[in-house]
This record gives sequence, structure tokens and C-alpha cells, in this order.
Amino acid sequence: MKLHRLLVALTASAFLFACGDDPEENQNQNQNQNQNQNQNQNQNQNQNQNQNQNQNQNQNQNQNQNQNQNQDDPTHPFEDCTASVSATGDAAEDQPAILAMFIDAEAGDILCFHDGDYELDDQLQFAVSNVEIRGESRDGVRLDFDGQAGSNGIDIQDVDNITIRSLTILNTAGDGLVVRNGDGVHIDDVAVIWERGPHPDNGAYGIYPVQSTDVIVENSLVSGASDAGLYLGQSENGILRNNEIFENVAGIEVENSTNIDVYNNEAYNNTGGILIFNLPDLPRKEGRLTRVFDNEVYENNTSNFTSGGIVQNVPRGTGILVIGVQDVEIFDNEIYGNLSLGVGVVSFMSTGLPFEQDPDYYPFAESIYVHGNTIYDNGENPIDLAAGATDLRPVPGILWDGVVNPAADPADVLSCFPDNVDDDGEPATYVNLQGEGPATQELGDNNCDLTPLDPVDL
Amino acid sequence: MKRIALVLLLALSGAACGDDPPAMPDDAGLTDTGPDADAEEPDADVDEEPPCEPRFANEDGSVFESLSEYCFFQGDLADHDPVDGVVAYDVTAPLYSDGSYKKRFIILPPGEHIGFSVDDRWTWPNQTIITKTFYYPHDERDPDAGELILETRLLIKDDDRWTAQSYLWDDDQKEAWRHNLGRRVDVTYIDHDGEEVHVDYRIPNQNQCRTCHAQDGQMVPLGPRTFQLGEAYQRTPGAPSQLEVFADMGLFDQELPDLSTLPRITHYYDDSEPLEDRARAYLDANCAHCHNPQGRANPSNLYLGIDVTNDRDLGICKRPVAAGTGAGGLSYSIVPGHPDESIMIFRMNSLDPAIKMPELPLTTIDHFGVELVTDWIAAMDPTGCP
Repeated sequence: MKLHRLLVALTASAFLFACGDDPEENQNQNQNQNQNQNQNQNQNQNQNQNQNQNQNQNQNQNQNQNQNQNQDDPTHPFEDCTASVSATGDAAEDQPAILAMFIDAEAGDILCFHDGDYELDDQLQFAVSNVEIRGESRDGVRLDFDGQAGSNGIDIQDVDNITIRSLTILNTAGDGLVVRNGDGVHIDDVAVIWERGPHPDNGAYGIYPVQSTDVIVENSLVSGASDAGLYLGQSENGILRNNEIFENVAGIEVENSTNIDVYNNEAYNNTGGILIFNLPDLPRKEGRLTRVFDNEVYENNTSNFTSGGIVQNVPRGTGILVIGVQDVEIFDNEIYGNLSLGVGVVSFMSTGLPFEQDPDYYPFAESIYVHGNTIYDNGENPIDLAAGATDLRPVPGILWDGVVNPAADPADVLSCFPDNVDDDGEPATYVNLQGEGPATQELGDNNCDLTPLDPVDL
Repeated sequence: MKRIALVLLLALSGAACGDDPPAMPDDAGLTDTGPDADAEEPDADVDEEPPCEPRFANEDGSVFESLSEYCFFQGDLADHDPVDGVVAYDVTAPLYSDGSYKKRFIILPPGEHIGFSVDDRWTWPNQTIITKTFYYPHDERDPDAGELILETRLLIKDDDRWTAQSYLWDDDQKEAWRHNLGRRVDVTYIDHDGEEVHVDYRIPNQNQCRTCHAQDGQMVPLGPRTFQLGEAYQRTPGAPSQLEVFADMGLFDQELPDLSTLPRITHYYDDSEPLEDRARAYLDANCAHCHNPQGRANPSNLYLGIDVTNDRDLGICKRPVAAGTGAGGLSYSIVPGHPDESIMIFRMNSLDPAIKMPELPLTTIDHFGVELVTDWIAAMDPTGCP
């Protein structure tokens, strides 16, 4: 109780942002107007992007050729499919053909999609364990859900040991690829794209494993999600690696999850690049033990185009943001060109949102270890939360609200921010808002080290 | 036992469906056969037919390809005239399914019993089948105009798990054939007001059954449970409750507790009942199969069963978690006193696949339900949300 009263007091002091009457709002509108220009630029970038993809694809093809030559490799050759479908481009034929394959599936099956443009008019649900769903190639297998009836693209529920690889899901009304209650989930080389680019009417989530365990999402691409591109929520033991995530509201979001590694991802042109959140009012309360490393997080300056949910509070121009999570290690990332802030670490009360209603929720961001990152050119035009947090311009590369549980032993909740640099190798800028106290830009006692977290072993 | 089955049969041949709006004529049932049917089946043939007993599956264990092979019904299949051992039932608070009408039956294996529970889901012996037939009357004002039967869904329990099969009715309404890939059917009927109604009816595919029926990863029956069977079949005045009837038939594995102590859900069409009870009954029947801690919407932490007591679990001043566009820019599932600001109403009132609730294949809005829940929210004390 005491703790809660204190939290209320802290919240009431509202030392951070107020969205509504923000003087930056006009600027925000300008931002929206600029958005079109940005989108044009984005399109150019997309073209470049495509070239990059082609290059990647060539690399993939080379890899595939190598793998095809190596016939002993049991996982990749297209030949060992137990069932397969080919595209007609007519939903009246593609939809039932895929459904029939999904419904007849049994454990051990490999269900394959030949390259082609598939038209779907409803979501594809699936619930068989120990199955691989495999496309011939990511860029070749295009499942287009534009105009669909049901909400999601591929919707998988209650399965053990499921693999989805090498296909593209386009233009779903709801989420692209959903896995609910999966144990052993491998998503590899999958793309989820809304082709019109950022738009509030796009589906909410691109790749969305939730309430799952032992999840790997790798080598995948998401673009256009109106909430999170790559989301891992209410899950345990997960690896998100080697993904390319752009033009979503949240690029990569880990939410109320434990034992998660996020590495070697590229997150750019989202509203926020990588978000590690622990939120109240969810069935799974625990969000901790997450490592974020070797990612490139840059220019996440797309205006927030969501129409709801927690991510509406994410200021455009956010690099990496930690809210209310414990035991997070952020290291060896390159974070640059994000207009609001580079790395933000805050407790949930700094969002100004209520949480007292959830007595089991622990709102503090504690034992955060941010080290060895390269952080530069961030915070030059902050808005919302980032603008309200500090008067410093640009907003320092690392922003910590300095709020910890006052009832905790300080040694148990210590956060450390050592050895971060800018692009010239100089120490990265830093601010500790110290709750209600005077902000400091000196690392002080927080120039320390914590025991590195163990890698996630899957 | 047989006598009571006969009572059920007679009640059934009176035949309105459980899902009827209150204005539904009592005799708009499936038992009316056209003159053609009578002509094709001389009485002599019927008399000579050997009695048909319910069958569970082919000898090799595979499911039947046609509905008639189960021997659940006698006479014309479309009449749904159950043989001994096939028990008709209905629920107090039904699920809205694009305005379709439903007929429901339980078939237990001989000598086996339902595991009764006051609050939990009942348990069912292996080789139980529960069926539900979906149909529309051609003209809701005229029971003699007949019906269009679309599909009969079967929940089949074997090897300690439930699976689902769907049987699509032929155009001539003589037989229904197994079909698991789903289908869209254009339905046209005349409603109570004489208006022509078109429905893009969706017969779900087999994998979609899990959307509603999977609880904690396992398929389960949803309707038949204690609080849903506390009224007489078809709410026939003076008739015993279905729980009593089931108990008298020996369907349960135990004596029932005092009936007055058992939980009941409110018949939400009955406007003499309290508004809150009606709205909560509606939400339970139409939402709680997903929106409960074991259901598909568990990640949302929005729980809409009638047993939920926590305001925030119910959505009152609850912020959405992962609603995306579904939130429509609104902040709370329910804002007391302000249905227009409540995400729940926004989503119930939408046909956009990214927004609409319930998720599954509803292609029409249940305006009755929207109005009921709207009234409930509007009547709440407008305390505001933090």
C-alpha cells in the first residue's frame, strides 16, 4: 500500500510529458504534412531497399543452391513436401486449395507453397503441431489478403513445434502472421508487407507470436504495420534476429516477456525502432531478462500512424525505448538519426498512464545495463514524451528517468550505462532525470558494470 | 425415459428454434414438409423401414460422409425428427449467427452419462456427438413458407478429444454432405417486418471451429452447461426445465442439487429482466467463448463471462492492449455512461474485418445486441475514466 501511494504521488508529479497541450503539437502537424514528402523519400529508400533485397535474395539463392547441392540437408529442399499448392490468382481456387492442405495436415507434414501470386479472401487458420509451412521462396510466394473477410493472414493457434518459412503475406486487414499459444515456434525468412506503406487502416501486427514459448523469428521483414511490425508478447524464451523492420509504428516490440534475445536486426523508418515494454492489465505480468545487441536502429522518424493501443504513446523518432522492464541488457547497438531520442529507459509512471488498478503489476525499469553502444545524431527534434522529459536539446543519447522502487535496496535495482560512445568515439551524451530531483548529465554511480545476462539458449 | 423423450419430441415438432427473437411465431419449425415430400414417400414405405438407431462412425472409425448415415433422425432428414437417444435442447442465451435459426441435439453413447457440474463445463463420454443445424425461414411471418437449411455442425468426442465436422445441405434439402472447407452462401429471406434481407452467410471451415471452441488449447462444446439449460425447452410455459428433463432421463452422472440454487443466465430478449443481467447474458453468449482466461482473446485481458465481477476485466475504463485499428482512436473498452466513446460498441457496430467483433464470420451486425449493450453502458453512472 505504501508503495502504491508513493507511486501515485510520483505519477501526480507528472514530471514527464503531457500529450494533449504540447506546444510541439503544431510542429507535429507540420510533421504530418512533411510525412508525404517523407513517404516519397521512403519510396526512394524502398527502391534502394528492393535492390538490397535483391542482393539478399541472390545471396539466399546461392545459399539455397548450396543447400540443394547438399541433399543431406533435411530442412530446406522443396522436394520433401508432403503436400503442396500452386497459385491460380483466383481466391475461389486458392483459398480452398490452401485450406484443404491445412485441414488435412498431420504431425510431421511439410506443407509447401510453390512460387506464385495467391489471392485469399479470408484468413487461413491452422492448429496442427509438428508441421512446417514452407514457401518455395520468400519473394516468390505472395499471399495477398487484400479485401479479405476474416481479420488475419495466417493464424496459428495451440500448436507445438511449428515452422513457417520463405513466404510473403500481403495487405491483411488484421495481423499478418499470428501464433497464439505455441510451444516451439520458428518463423524464418517470412515477409509481411502492407504495400500502400504506412497507413492507419493497415493491420495492427506483422509477425505476432503471443503467449508462446521457445520462439525464434529470424531473417524476416515487416513493413507497414499500424501497431508493431515484429511483436513478441506474453512469451518466454525467444530470439528475434537478423530481421529487417521498417515503416511500422513500433518496429520490434517485446512485451511482458522473459528471456528474450533481440540481435542483428535492422530497424529503421519506424515511429519507434525497438521497444521493450512491460505493461499492466495483461494476463502475463512479468517482463524481464531481455538482451538487445548488435542491432542497427536508425532514423525511426515516421509519424505515429496508429489508431490505438500503447504504441500511440511512442513519439516518432524513438530509437530504443524500455518501459517498466527489469534486467535488460542493451549493448553493441548502433543507434542514430532518431529525432526524439536514442535510448530511453523509463518506469511506467513516466508514461502518465494509470497502472494502480493492477495490483500485480511492477512498473519500474530496474537493473538496466546499457553499454558499448554507438549512439549519435539523436534527439534533435523531440516530441511528446521525449520533448517533455528534458529541456536539453538535442535530447541526450541516453535518457533515464532514474525512477526506481524506493522500497528496494539500491544495490538490487542498480542500472549502469558505461562505455557508450558517439560516432567520433567520444562518450555518448546522457541524462538521468532522477525522478523529481535535479537532472544530471554525469554518469556518476551509474558508470558501473552489471553481470551480463545469459544468452537465450534454444 | 422413453416417455420423456417423447415429450421432447412433441415439443420439438412444435419447433421454433431457441434463437428466435420473441416475436418469432411458435410454429415456424422444420417439421413442415412440402407436399412433394409427402407424395414421394408413401406411408407404407415409412412403416416398413427398420428402426434406425444412432450411429457414431463407420466401422473403420471414419466419419460418415452424409448426415443421414448417422441415423439421428427419422422420416425426412430435413424435419430433424429425432429417434430415441437423440435429445433436443436449446440454450437460454444463444449466440447470434447472422440471424440464422438453430436446432440442437445431444447424442450420448448408450448407457453413458454427462459429468454434471454446477459452474464448470460438463464432461462428456467418448462417442458423444452434439449437433447444431443452421437454417433460415423463407418468411419469418409465414411458417408455412418453409425454411432453407444451410448446414449441420457436429462436435464429435473420441479418444478424449473433440473434433468438428460440418455437413452442407443439398439445394433440395434431402441430404447434407460433409464439407470442411467452408463456403459462402447467399441467403435471402423475408423478416418479421416484411423486408427482404440478404445475408452473405459464411459456413466456417474446419480450422475456424477452434476460434470459438478451443479453450486452453482443447476443443470443447460451448452451449450445453448448467446455467444455459435452466429453462424449459423452447421456454414452453409450465414445462419443466431442461436440467430436470435431462436428470429425469438419467443423462447425468449424479443427482442434481436443488434447482433453485443453480446459476442461470438471463434470457436476454426478455425486456422484463433487469437491463444489466440481459446485457451481461448477451456478452457471455456472444463474446465470452473467446473473452475468458482460457479463450482465444485471453491476451486482451478483457473477460466477458457472466461470472466476471472485476470492472476492469469487464472492460470498464480498461485501455485496449493490442486492438490496433480496432480501437477506433478510442481509449477504453467501456466508458460508463458513454457508449459512443466505448470501443466495445464501436467494434460490435462494425463490419470492417480488422475492427468487427465478434471476429468470426458474422457478415451482419446484430443491431439488437448493439442496442442492448449500448443501453447498458448508457445507464451506467458516468463517473469518467482516469
